[in-house]
Amino acid sequence: MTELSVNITKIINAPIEQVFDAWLDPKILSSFMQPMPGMPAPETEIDASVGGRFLIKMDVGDQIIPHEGSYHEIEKPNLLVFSWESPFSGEGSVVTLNFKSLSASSTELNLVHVKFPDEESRSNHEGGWTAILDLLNNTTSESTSTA
Amino acid sequence: MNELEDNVRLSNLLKAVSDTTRRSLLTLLIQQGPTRVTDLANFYDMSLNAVSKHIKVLEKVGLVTRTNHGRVHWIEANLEPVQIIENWFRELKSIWELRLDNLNVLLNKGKKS
Repeated sequence: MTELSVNITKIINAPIEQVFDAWLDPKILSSFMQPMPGMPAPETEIDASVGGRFLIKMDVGDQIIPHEGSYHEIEKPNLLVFSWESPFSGEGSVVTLNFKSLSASSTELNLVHVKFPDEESRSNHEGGWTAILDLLNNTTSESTSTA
Repeated sequence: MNELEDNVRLSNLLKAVSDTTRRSLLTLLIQQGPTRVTDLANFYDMSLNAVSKHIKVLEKVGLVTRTNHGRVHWIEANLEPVQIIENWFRELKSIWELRLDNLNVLLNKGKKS
């Protein structure tokens, strides 16, 4: 991985509306938003409106770690954008979900979780994380080839 | 406790690199090798003091090291801690994959017919 973002595409075997709605229904959300493998379902609170906030209380065994954020864009059934704040991820990250209907019963879901969302696009070359990692990869491959 | 320390370290690292100027400083240092603080400051439209503060933030989390030759301070990039951030992203990715798998299973459960 060479940039500070996560990008996953998955086919979900359900109609697009159902896949979309799952993200804004507290009961459904809590049943798939596991904090990590084998951990219990979290408690969730959702205010499903643009600017509204959500709270997911992740139970990781010895402590409850709250994950929260607010909805930036809600365009049913195609697009859902929300901020994602967890105690250890520092400030500011954004999750973008793109839903694409493949058939009446299958949906392509693309999830992109980006750190430094605003700055990254503004200054990709001058202070971009990607630029740093590229340089890092170049320097490490140079040093291994000369070694 | 070890995990907590790791989390604090990660959090500090992410904060350190969440600033454009500091990422730009890192980029410069990787490209140029060890550089004097005064020379680094020349690249920016800000005071020596301001640049110096950014360097201190990077220094604190171990992303740059400082060598003093008399009054001249040489700054060098150290990218070892970057691995920690990359690992965190790898974990984040596998967690999201798990959740999307869960979602798929969940939505399929309802329609047995």
